[in-house]
Amino acid sequence: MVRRLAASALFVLCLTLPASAAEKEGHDHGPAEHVSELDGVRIIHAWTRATTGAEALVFFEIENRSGKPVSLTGGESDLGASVALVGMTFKDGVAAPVALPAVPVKDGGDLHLEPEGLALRIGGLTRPLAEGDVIEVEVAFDIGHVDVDVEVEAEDATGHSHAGHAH
Amino acid sequence: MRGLPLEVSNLSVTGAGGRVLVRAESLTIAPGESIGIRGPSGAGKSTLLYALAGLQPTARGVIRWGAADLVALGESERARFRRDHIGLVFQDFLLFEELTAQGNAALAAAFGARGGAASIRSRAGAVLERLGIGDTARTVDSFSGGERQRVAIARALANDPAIILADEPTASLDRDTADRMIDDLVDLARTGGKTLIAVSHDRTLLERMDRLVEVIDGRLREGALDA
Amino acid sequence: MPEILLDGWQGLSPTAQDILILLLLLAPAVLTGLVVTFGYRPFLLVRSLLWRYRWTNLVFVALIAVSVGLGVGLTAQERGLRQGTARAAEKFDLIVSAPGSEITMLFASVYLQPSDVPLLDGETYEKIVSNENVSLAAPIAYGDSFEGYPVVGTTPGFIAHLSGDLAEGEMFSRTGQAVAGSAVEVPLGASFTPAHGVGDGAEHEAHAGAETVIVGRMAATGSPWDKAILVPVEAVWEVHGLANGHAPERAGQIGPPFDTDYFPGTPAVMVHADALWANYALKSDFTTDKTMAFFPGAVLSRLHALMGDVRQIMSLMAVVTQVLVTAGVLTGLVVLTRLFSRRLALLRALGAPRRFVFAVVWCYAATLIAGGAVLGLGAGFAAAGLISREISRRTDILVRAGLAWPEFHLIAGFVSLTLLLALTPAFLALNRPVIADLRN
Repeated sequence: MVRRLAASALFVLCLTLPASAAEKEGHDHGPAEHVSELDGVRIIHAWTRATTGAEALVFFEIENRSGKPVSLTGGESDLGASVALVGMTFKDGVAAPVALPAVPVKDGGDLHLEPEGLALRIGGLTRPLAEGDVIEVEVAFDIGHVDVDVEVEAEDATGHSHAGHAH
Repeated sequence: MRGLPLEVSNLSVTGAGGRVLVRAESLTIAPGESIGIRGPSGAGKSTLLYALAGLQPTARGVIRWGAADLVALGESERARFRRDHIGLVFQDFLLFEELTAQGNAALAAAFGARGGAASIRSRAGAVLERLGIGDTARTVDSFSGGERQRVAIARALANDPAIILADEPTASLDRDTADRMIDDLVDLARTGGKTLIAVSHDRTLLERMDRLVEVIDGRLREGALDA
Repeated sequence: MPEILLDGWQGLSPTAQDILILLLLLAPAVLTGLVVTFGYRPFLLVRSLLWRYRWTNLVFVALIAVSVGLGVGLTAQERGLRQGTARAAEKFDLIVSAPGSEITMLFASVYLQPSDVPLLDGETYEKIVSNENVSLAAPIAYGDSFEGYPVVGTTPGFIAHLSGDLAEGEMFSRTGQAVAGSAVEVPLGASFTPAHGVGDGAEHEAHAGAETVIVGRMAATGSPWDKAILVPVEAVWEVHGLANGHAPERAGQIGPPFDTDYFPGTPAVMVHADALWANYALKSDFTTDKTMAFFPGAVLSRLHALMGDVRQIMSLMAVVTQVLVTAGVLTGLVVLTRLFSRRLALLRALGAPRRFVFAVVWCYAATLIAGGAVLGLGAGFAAAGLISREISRRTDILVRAGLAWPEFHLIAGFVSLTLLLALTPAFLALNRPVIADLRN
């Protein structure tokens, strides 16, 4: 947990550095906001995969430091007809997303939306997503909505390109 | 169907390398007439016969059956003319061994000729009966040569053709069987008023024809049976 | 318009989609057949040709059947293996262990292929058990064996979760009792002494005195647990000379709750939550510096995805084989049409339309291809069944390879493609000289 907080702090620091410094580190991702916050609920490392299909799964990490439990309920996006919370299940070895009503995050807890687990599914995409794009998704909690910049990673990405290394 | 008049003029059929196989300035056959074509082996008798059936793509000149000039017609029209107006009989019968007598005789029912499948089948059955083939549901692989040729004749007549073309129809048969076959063929052609043209070496057959044409070295001449 | 189509498509049930795909794949074959034979009755002749050259035809059909069967069998087998391994892991919702390799833990905990791994301590175990979303948390303590059967320490709750009611006998209620998997060839009432370790390296004398009686038998699970002997986790701790998970005043207790101070450790904990969403929350909760949490199903699907490349190569090989064999068969057909060229010439001399003759040759080829494909379907099914049985016998993972839509689609595509290719010998047969063929 300590390591995670430290990583997040460094991460925010990194964002405040001049662009040239960030470029030197190979972190040129355009004007994306890497952290969004709503009353102490932080969403970091939001990403999705490049696609030409009708659906995209959005992944991110939620840190609840709001002092009370919150519930992730879904979202909205101008890019798609619907945004819904789904959980990946594996029946007979075949991955199948199942729609979920809401997932609570207790105070002080984290919730990871990640491949093979939870995701926000954008349905009815109105345009293809290309690697390097940044799209905006409104993430819905029971306590309110928060806009999140979602980075489009490679078509076969398994994680956010920032995740897994310290900033 | 009654016979059609045939008018052949300036006919030539060429083979490989442009060699002329058969040349005929003029040949006229009246409807219902029977003609024997004779001549030495390789002289072009069969080539002439197949040209008259519209089966020689290299034929030039005029081969006019009634109103239809086979040389001028395209391939599919020639095929249609054959299935509507011509019955063919071959030396070695050319039957489908695995089919029954009826199946062979009514072969044309499978691809449809003038009059439709049903009339072809009933006519094939009638001719088989008339020729004394009783067991029409038997496959022909167990048939004797004479029986086979009778099935072949029934096949040639199943579409009620105006013209019967026979290529050495007796050559694969013994004398007695051949004689009977000649009777049948000539009889059927006559009673139907059909034009019959037969290529043959068989004196008995040739004697029964109204007229003879001799082919020697690809040239035609009216002939008679010499002593 | 395309969007309306796409929406309509997505609105269909998977079965309806599969049927539609099958029909679409078959459509070229059916359409070709209808166009080629329209207005004609070539079947009597086709039958006669088939019979005439029946032995040659049989060889062709057998060749096609073998190549199709190979393709079908491979794909069915591969899927059966995938499903079998997935089903064997189905009861293992979430595994929590010390950080390390998920695959190592998957093989050890789910498929009972143990490796030396660090243990989770009592404090960590307590955290797991006390999580509000956890409805069942069971230690899985492996490492011992008896005559090749892994001896695994766990709790009665886990056994009930894994296989439901016992098939016979009763649940263990004290150390020295065991429940056998359905395929363990040790009778109820027999006793044994577990050896420390597994396989050739097992130390048979290490646990001398820990005689254990089989008191019950689990129902079949279709997983390697069918060949496991399950004992109270307390027994595993005791034979290793450790505390038995309970404070001295409750030393005779079997199963939870355990006392943190007397908890010697467990390599893995199987965690089950009643609500689907809770599994994801638990995974987030237990992904920490001290613990690793993973969904066996997800890890397996990742493994399968890796094997997916192999699968694609296999499928490609199967398709290539099929195409090669078909090319050979079609070449053979061209030769064969020469055999019956005289009959085809006869048909044309009698005035049969070109399209009719074409139809005869095509239908002939189509019959061989369709016959081979159907036979191949059967051959593939049989082969997949045989191989599955062998794999089940060797791995204890129940593999059921049955034919499913992918195989039907594969065959439909194959049939359509080759029936289109079969137009070639039919065209070639038409270009032969009639008179020359008649006289040969």
